[in-house]
Amino acid sequence: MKKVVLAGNPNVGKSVFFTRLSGIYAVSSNYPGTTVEISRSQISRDGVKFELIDAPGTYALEADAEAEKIAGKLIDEADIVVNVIDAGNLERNLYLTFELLEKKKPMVIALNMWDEVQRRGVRIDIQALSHILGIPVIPVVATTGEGMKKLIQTLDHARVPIIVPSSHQERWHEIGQVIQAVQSFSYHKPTWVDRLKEATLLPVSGFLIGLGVLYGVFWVVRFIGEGLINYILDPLFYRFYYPLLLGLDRHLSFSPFLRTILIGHLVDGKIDFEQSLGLLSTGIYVELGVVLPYIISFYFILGLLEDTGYLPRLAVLLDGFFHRIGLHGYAIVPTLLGLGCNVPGIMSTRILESKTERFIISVLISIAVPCASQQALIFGVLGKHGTMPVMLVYFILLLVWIILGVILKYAVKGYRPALVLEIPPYRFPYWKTLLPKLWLRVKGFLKEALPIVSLGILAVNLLFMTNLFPYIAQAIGPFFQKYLGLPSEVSLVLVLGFLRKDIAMGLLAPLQLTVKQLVISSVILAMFFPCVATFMVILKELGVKKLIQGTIIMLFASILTGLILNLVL
Amino acid sequence: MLPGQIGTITEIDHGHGLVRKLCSMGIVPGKKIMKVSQILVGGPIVIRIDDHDLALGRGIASRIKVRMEI
Repeated sequence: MKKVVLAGNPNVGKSVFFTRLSGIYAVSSNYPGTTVEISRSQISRDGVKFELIDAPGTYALEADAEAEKIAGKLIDEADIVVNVIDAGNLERNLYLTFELLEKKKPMVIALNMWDEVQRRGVRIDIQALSHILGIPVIPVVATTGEGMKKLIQTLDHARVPIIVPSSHQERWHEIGQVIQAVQSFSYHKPTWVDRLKEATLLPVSGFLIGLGVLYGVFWVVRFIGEGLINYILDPLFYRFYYPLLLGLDRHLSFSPFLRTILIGHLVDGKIDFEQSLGLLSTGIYVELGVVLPYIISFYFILGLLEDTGYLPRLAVLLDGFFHRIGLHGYAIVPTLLGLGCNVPGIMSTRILESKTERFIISVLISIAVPCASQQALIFGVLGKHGTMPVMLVYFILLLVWIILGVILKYAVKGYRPALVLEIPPYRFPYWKTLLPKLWLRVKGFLKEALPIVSLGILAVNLLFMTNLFPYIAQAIGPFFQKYLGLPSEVSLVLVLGFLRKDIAMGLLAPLQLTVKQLVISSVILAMFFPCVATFMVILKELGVKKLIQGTIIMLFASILTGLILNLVL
Repeated sequence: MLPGQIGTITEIDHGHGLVRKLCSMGIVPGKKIMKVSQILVGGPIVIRIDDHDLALGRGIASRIKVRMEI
């Protein structure tokens, strides 16, 4: 089977191109030993099978970044290289093309976004380009599928280019000559749409639009997420799944242990989806009924922001701000996701380039960004005392986020790449690319998070069977009383809350605490990692060492914040 | 260089790795660029090169020397 590798710059629509060629049956996996994800698929044409591999998008092949090395390796292994080019950005794309030519592999060029080029009044002489480079050039529109058939047919005519390798200085000269020979522009007057597009990047108007978009994103995500929970998932769980579990519960009466593992403890004589802690009760409900709806709504909106081209602009606008805490603008994505659920928030840190950045933002998310259920806890505990205490808790968390970020910036050494980011033109999103992407991401979440979260719930369940938690609480109770100004009963709540936010809220309410004590307790609870799922995801994404470091930072930060609050408030 | 102004790159004064990275993205001496925007709070500089926009961190942007067009 011949290996066909897709190579091209970032933002040339390569993944859309890949989806078009392969359908949604792609398998994406990490390149062995790295965090760089590549997709593979098989296509067949006239009975001949090809293996299609999507190399990471790069500007060059010989630079030091991980993605570029892998792209280089994939191309060395390839039988045929398809160079996907953004036709509207021909000159810059040709730099990579020249590097690919030097690899002397049979090659075909796909000039993508052909429709956009024609709309903008750029003329490209395809025959001349094909002649100069000595390889076939096919214009395509990946989003609509135009030209894709012809491209597949052309794979047989892929040719090894014959060129004389040149130095880097000469390369731009050569590219300039090619461009002069094949491309011509016609004048295009800026319209009001162009001006609006530009306004999203100007200092003042850009910030205002950015704030509006962020607010809108937050609102829409909650709207979709809560809608899915209230109108689809909860009715399904309570009407159909609950009776099923009850039936199973009766059959399991022969083994109390198995029953505790699968169904969990009864709360007030009933199975409680959030508190029973069984693999089939809480395990299934938390993952599919609580986290999944937010995953779907967040990834849908994120896909929309990516496909329209607004996301890079948002990253650019916020870069200065995030830079102060040692991150770059793309850190907004995990942060936003974290406000819904910390699990996808931490998983999405993969879009950041370096390990250092991933560690910093993961710690910040899990400590200072309250997830939806932590926010529910804050509202539940403090809501009846008015909006001021609730606002106070959010304000304290924001302050913690900033201070901790600045400290981590200086404390954690490591590689922080300087920002060089291409801003793609605005594009209209297509359902046919948006939905497969959403499906791939949701599938990825289910495959990766389901098993580890189940394992975590099992672990907590087993821990609760031992009487470890009350014991710890008793030991540290006096400390809580003396330094945090909290009655020693609260220590049990906080210890339990280390892994179980849901229980914590129910236990805090009857304790008759003052508003100040409630604010301190809820800040500490919010700063603890949200749930066992978060622990497991950090473990999986960053490793044991980072998890332990993060946990220690979390304990120190939350206790210290409690101490300070007790003195200040 | 102020937003809206146009100039020609004369020199990039930085380490080899970065010059190569910028080079692969089309930022090379001799190119005409326009500064589009300068994001607040120490944010990046947005430049336009060949009808496309690029954002560069301030540190990098300050190393690109430009001959202004009058």
